[in-house]
Amino acid sequence: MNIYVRSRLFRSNLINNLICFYSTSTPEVIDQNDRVLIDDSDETTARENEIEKKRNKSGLSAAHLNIMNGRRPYETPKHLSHLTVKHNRKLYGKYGSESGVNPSLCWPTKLDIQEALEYESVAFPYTIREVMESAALRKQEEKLKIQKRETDIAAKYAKLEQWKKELRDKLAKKAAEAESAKIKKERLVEEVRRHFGFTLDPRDERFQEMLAKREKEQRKLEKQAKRDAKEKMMFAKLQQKNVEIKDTPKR
Amino acid sequence: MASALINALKKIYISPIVTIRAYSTATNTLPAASNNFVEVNKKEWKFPPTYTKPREVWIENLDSIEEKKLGLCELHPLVYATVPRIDIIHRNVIWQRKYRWVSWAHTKTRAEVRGGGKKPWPQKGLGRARHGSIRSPLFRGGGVAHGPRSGKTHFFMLPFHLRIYGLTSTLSAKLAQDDLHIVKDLDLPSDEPDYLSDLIESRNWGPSVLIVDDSDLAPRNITAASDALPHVNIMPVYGLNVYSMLKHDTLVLTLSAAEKIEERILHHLHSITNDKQGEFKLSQV
Amino acid sequence: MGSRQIVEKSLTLLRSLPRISLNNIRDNPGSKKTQKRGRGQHGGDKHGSGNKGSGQRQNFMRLGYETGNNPFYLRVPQEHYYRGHHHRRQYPPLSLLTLQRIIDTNRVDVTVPIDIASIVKTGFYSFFPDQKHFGINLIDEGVDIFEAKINIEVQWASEQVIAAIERNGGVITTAYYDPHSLFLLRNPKKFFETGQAIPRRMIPPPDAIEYYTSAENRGYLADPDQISEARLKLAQKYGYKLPVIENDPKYNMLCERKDPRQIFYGLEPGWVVNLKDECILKPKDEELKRFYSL
Repeated sequence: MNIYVRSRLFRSNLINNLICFYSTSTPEVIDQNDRVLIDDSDETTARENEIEKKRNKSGLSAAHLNIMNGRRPYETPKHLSHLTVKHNRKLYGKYGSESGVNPSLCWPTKLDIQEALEYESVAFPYTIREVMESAALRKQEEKLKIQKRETDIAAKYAKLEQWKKELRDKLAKKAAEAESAKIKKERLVEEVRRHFGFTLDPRDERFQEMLAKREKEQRKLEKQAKRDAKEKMMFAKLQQKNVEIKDTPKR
Repeated sequence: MASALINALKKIYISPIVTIRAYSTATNTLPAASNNFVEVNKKEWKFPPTYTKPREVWIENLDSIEEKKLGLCELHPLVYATVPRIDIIHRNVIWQRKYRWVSWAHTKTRAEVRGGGKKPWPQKGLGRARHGSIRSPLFRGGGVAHGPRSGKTHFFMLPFHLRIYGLTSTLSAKLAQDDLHIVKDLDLPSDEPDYLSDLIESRNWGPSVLIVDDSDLAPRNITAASDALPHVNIMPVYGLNVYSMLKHDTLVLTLSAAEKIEERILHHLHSITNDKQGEFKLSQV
Repeated sequence: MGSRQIVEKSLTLLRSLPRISLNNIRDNPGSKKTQKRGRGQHGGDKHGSGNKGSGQRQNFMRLGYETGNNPFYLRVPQEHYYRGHHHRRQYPPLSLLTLQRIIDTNRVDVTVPIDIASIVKTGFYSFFPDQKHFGINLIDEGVDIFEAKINIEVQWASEQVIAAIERNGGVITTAYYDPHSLFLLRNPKKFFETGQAIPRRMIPPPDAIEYYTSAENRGYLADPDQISEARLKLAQKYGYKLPVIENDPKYNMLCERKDPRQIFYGLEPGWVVNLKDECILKPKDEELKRFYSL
């Protein structure tokens, strides 16, 4: 039994030495082990220590036991991220002042404030008042645009009836012209038919010839009529001129 | 051998004290019995029971082998007297067995078995079946098709409310079968395992006992006494689970543990648990 | 537990049965169906995967692919009136019916002002600030049966909804929160556990400023006088008598509003809330004070 204890002792001391190299919070551990060194001579105290260890019925690791009881999991940082401000803030937020973190870490530093202000001056350059005014201005502009458009439409709407009438007249005139041309053509065909005295296929050569002839005549007649009308007009104009000439000396 | 002798001696030494204690307890209980009236700790619950009556249970002691009734306390029926759903208890047990089970059974496929690269015999002309490898699953000593592959986890998460109802069902069943006892605290007068085993035997608590305390640091004497008894185990309140409750014959709760269990379960039964009901995430504890 | 006393009966039945232990429990019969992979000559023929093709090889075509056709998602011409829809602010709806249900089932305290944090806490409403969700749109479903006197703050509300709340003597405000503030309001505990100081609420973007400054929408930046005028106008429009909140016993509660820079009721920007110690730390440094009061 004694040998066992000694070997264990030796090992724990070794471990202690090792820990000394790496961590700063060793004094407590050394103390405990020193006690163990003294206690191990006495069997009952060793048993007490054993029982003391077994009293912990959680079955959890030291870190998890700490978390379970609302303490920070470990005092010494285990990772680079544990040295960050963010992690320390979290420790304070979760475990309160017991965590040993200085709560002044929770607020931004002067540099952070400067940066935040700089960011905000770019991201939110205008005050509420300015934004409101610009929004109002934009709204006003849009309103004006709509108003302008509406007045335009109203002006055009006023002319709408006139434009509709013009269009309708134009269409009616076109239709009338087409109608008269059709009637004329029909009359020609009828005349040709009457000339032959019997119904002839309009695709017949003779019919076509006759039709062309008739058309020619018709055109001639029309030309003549036009010329006559022109002459008449000229005559009338001359007469008027004469009258005017006659009139002027009187004046 | 020597330790057994010492133990026997200690027994001899202790036994008169115990008898004296027994007498003293008898005298202590007398006035209470003569009054014929025991005060019930009426409780003000945050969520009082609506349809069923609270259960009244004796508060017992551990500081003497003989049982003493120290008082009565009320337990909430939603936790300690609900429908004992055996199927939910079963599903909890299956879950507890499975979620930490990683199956390491492993077989080699035809690719992993050594050898078998060469075509054993020509494709045609021998009147034999065509084969490309002597390690094909058809061959003796060949690979295994669709065999178990190691590192298979059986982890799954039982839905949150099934876990809660598993606890309430088991607690209700334990109470209904007189296997749940409430004790005032875990202070023993002696750290001898015999004291504890005698106590368990005299009270007819079955051989195996699960003791649940509010704190995770058990008192010294009961730790020492239960250390040598593998069938007597101590657990903090947050370790309470269906499997362990069923594994042990009797469940012994301290008064504070019973109240804590009640408070936690009632809290979960009456709060919004949308975040707990979703898909299980590793970050969710 | 009902007239049949199922709990009592089953518990008394248990008393006469052997102790429940690991070896005498089972699941409900037929509750579990094990999937079997057939083996042998015909049982394991195709294992239910069918013959050949995608079903057996599980090599499905990419989504939308139509084996060489011009796929549907390319065949339809673009619809430009949806341009930028994924950048627009979204307000997931909460109906007055649900709000009434929340109040009736006592999931929210109506003796204090209600804001998005208290509504999210009821579990009846969830939103995702990272998905361009900017808070509650209180919609008019259940407008006829709504009858609660509340001081509520939402992010968007229609005219009927405003009328429904004011008819019952309540007060409604529409307020803008930037996404970061909404994260805080969605899960305050998570934020407080990070140990940061409560930030300021940012001002609304230019395209939202008009909504939140207009009295008709009960915007939080609107002039209070104009709001009282608009309340009266709305009452006349919908034909109800506007209850006088000045005479109300809950007048102080109904008048409570957040500061345009404030995120939580009762907590100012710059404060640190510690839930473990149950304490509030306030900054004393002048520069910090100035920064947080900007």
